[in-house]
Amino acid sequence: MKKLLALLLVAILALSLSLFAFADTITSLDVPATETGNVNVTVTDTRSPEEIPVTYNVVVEWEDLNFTYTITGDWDPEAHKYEGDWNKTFANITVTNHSNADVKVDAELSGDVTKNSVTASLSNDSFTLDSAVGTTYGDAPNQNITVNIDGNPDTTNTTFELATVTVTISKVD
Amino acid sequence: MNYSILPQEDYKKKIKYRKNEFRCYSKKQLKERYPNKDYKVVGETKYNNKKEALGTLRAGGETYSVSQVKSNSRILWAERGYAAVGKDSYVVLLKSRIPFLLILFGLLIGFCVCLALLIRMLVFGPPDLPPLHPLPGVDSYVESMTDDPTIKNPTPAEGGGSVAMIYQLKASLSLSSGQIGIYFKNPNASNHDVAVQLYIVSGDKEILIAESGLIEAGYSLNRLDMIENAATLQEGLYEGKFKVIYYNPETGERALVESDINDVLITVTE
Repeated sequence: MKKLLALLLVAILALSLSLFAFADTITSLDVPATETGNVNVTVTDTRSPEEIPVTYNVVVEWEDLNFTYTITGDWDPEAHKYEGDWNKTFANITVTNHSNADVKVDAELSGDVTKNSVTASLSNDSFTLDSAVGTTYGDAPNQNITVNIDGNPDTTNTTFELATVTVTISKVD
Repeated sequence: MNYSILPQEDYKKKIKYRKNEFRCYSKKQLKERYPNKDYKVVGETKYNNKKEALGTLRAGGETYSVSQVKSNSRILWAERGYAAVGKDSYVVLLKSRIPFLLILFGLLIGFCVCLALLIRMLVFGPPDLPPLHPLPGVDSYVESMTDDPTIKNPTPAEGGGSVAMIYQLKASLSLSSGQIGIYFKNPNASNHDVAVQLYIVSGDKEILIAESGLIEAGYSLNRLDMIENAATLQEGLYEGKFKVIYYNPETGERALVESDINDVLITVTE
């Protein structure tokens, strides 16, 4: 009887020395040998959507908003203007959303807007940026707001402030 | 008594009442004519004399009321001429001192103002005139962002800039302490410093209840002090917004771009 029990225990021990695979079951393995398997990861968040805090990270980046008009010609008595050229007629403001929620972006000008026959205006001044979830930092959702300048100044040798750009960020319901 | 001005060849003074001009003696001439002062002044007159009349004076086609001598105040009226109305008898012709007094008063005021400014300059130095958008001092509640993974952004090129804002849309105000808890960070990715204002939004009205000092890039702010008497609030929820103002760290100039952050939920507790 004791011999029978001993034989039974040896058999159980021999069977327990089998190898375990995470995915495929290995039925035989030569030594030496190599075996690979997939590593699967499951991420779960047990909180409800309302419990997940939203931390916003929005970047506002703007180009040089100084515009220079150089007078190159004579006074035009009919137009009441000096002939000349702008160094540039627009500049961009880039808004990037690194948040885990969508954001609504609106831009507006405040101040004189039109002064000394020069007018500032905005293009693409309202848009929505998607959440950055699923993107890399460098590919985060972004769009440009363009500040445009138009007109020939009717004054000389002066520097004046035309407007301030306010970028308003709102959450998206 | 009705008087008329007797013509004299040696009248040297001219008096004008509105458009009516007539000649008379000056005070100096009278003193020279009468060194012993043996002449008589029967009355005085001026344009539109309202004092009790003793008679009238006919001059230059117009009639003027003659009142008792010194019946008109010599502070406001000056003796400008003497018209002969009889033998050694004269009527004093008065002119208003008010224009002169007004000019004198104006000069006196101007002198006092200049003197006060001079004293102020000498004692207190030249006036301190703040710029249109003064740079605030660094906020005393700021903390360094030890967990900021972003790298320091280079100094902004002239006219350009970049601000990264990390925030949560909530603020908690304690009425008893006057302190407001917020979540706001200005990471190293920014190349501008910022200042944050917190407004309560009620319809079309926006009421400023707190504002920070300067938050430099790489720093966060989680506390504001409520402005005293900014508003009377009760426990509950209020809609609010952040206004974020950008400042160039090199020049201290306020940037031409700023941000408003809407939908801030302000929880007010006792």
